[in-house]
Amino acid sequence: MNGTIAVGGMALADVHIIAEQHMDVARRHVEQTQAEQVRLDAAVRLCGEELSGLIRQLQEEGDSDHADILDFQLLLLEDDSYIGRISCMIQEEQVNCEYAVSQCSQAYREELAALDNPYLNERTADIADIEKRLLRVLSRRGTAPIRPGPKIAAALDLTPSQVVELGRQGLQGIVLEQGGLSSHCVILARSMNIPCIIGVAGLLGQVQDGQRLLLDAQRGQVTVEPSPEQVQAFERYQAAYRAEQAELEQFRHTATATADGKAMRVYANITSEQEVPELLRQGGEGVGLLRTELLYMEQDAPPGEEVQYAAYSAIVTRLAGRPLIVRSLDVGGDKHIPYLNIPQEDNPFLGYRAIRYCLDHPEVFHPQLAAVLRAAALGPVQLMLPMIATISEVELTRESIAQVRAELKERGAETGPISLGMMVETPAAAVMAHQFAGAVDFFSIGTNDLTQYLFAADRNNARVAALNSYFQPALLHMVDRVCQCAHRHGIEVDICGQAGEMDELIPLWVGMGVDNLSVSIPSIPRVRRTISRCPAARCRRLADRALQCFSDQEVLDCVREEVRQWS
Amino acid sequence: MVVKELQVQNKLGFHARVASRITRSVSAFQSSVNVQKDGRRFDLKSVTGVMMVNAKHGDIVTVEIDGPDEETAAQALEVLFAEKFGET
Repeated sequence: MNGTIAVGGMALADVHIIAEQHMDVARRHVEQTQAEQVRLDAAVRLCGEELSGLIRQLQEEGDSDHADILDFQLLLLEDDSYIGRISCMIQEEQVNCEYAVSQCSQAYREELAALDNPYLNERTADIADIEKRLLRVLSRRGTAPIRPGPKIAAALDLTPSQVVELGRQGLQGIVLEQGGLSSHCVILARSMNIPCIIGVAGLLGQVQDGQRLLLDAQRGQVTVEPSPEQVQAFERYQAAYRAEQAELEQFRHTATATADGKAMRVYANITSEQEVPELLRQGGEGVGLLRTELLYMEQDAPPGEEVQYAAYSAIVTRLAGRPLIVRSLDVGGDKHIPYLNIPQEDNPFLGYRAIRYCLDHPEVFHPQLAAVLRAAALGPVQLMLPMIATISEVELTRESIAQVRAELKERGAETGPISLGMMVETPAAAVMAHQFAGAVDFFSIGTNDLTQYLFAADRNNARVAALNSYFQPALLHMVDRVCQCAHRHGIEVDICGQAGEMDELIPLWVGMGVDNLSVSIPSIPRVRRTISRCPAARCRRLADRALQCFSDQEVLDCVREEVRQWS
Repeated sequence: MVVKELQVQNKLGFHARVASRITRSVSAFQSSVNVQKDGRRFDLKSVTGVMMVNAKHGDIVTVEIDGPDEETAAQALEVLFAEKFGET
């Protein structure tokens, strides 16, 4: 089975299925259909009471959106064409309740999924929810207790609390039938460094509790009862992984410097406070990019100043003097937040997003600015603006910051100094870097977006994605120019995109004089090791040669040849 | 029997919340309330029935109301559609 890699690595252990699908929905013939009907009626009544109670509670809390969703489920319980269909099946086919519930729910989900209406397609989730609720009541037992010992958890999806609970009990890997790359569950798995594969279609139909499972989160493969050869391959991987980790140990807690002694720093990209302990374990020297979207995502309204202040101040405190770079809300593009009501666009990556949205919506932007300014009282905090294309966007933001700071002062709230930087991810910002360098306090190059905007090639479109090579001389010219403009004005340049952690590009970044690389947490020691092998002076000459190349392949060859000479 | 042609005016059409509102509203009446669409019949007293109508913004749906309180039920439905089910 194949899926999407959410956290890299490999694991081999018995599988522990965490799912309501654990319940027995096998078909059984029953003589006394009346008894089954009574069980169904009782289950429907009980679920109805549960739901009504929940709805009342939500309404009292003023959460009408979730109350509405549950009300819809309550109507399903009263619905003759759903519950009635289940009754019919029990009577006509003389089958058990559980089987009829699961069959009818499945059939109904398929009907909904077949409609050409995405709003209705999504309601299959409600049917699944009510089905689970009914089956749980029918089975009268909770989730199976977690067995001790090493295990790989398999589930449709996991809640954050489940991940935390499993993490204390020998969790080696996670494999999910659903799941999203930016879900809380995946972020937690990443922070605990637990290999994780998501989006494995048909997973729960193909594994049984207690079977041996090989999770290959290097290639995105899941194998049930692996062959001896596969087990050997895993053991080789594990031995190599341990050896690599042992070698990297010396790079976890040393200062970052090039082979000829030029100091640099390795930061990490994070999305939540929960990742900070792992960042510190891997020797991160700060946070080069805090993505704040998660605070806004799994919500029904924008988080207020206090919620954000709590999040940022917790990170600043844990970082104990290391810098924190907060990126202001980068909504839009592939990050959709429904309650912000950004209309559907033909071209969201070129659309109403990030700073463009924030400057128009002070009611969303100002609480974030206030929270950042207050957190800055506790330690070094920098604010980074995404998607800057013109100087006026920086100036308007400075005005907003001044206004918010004045309001905070009036309120008597304590604030700290912040430096204001910008992402360089639009070609306009890179071309005008000589002017921007005088307008901001630091640059951070977002290579992922800068590359796709530079080549006008959607990175999610497989047909053109190959144009987005970080080795293309056009991109290297942009980065080099940004670095030169920054240094002429005495400001620092970071790279916080994927290209910042690629071993074969790091010599070029060293050569161009990039000050800091912000990378994913597990890569911190490796990136520091690569930097330590780079002689800065030779790297400058290497960069000059690379800038003369005609193709990405030529650049790659050029770097490889140079690196060979060092060893 | 009363037959009404009603236009779906809210942006999202018959999604889940709207289905709940319609079903709750028509279930208060004794009359049967059905939609005829593409030769199929859907019961609006059933939330699944409303969903399967799959009506979108701008669609005209033909509703048949039949029973002792069909006139009041038809009026209530007209109001519900005109108010865009409380949405935009």
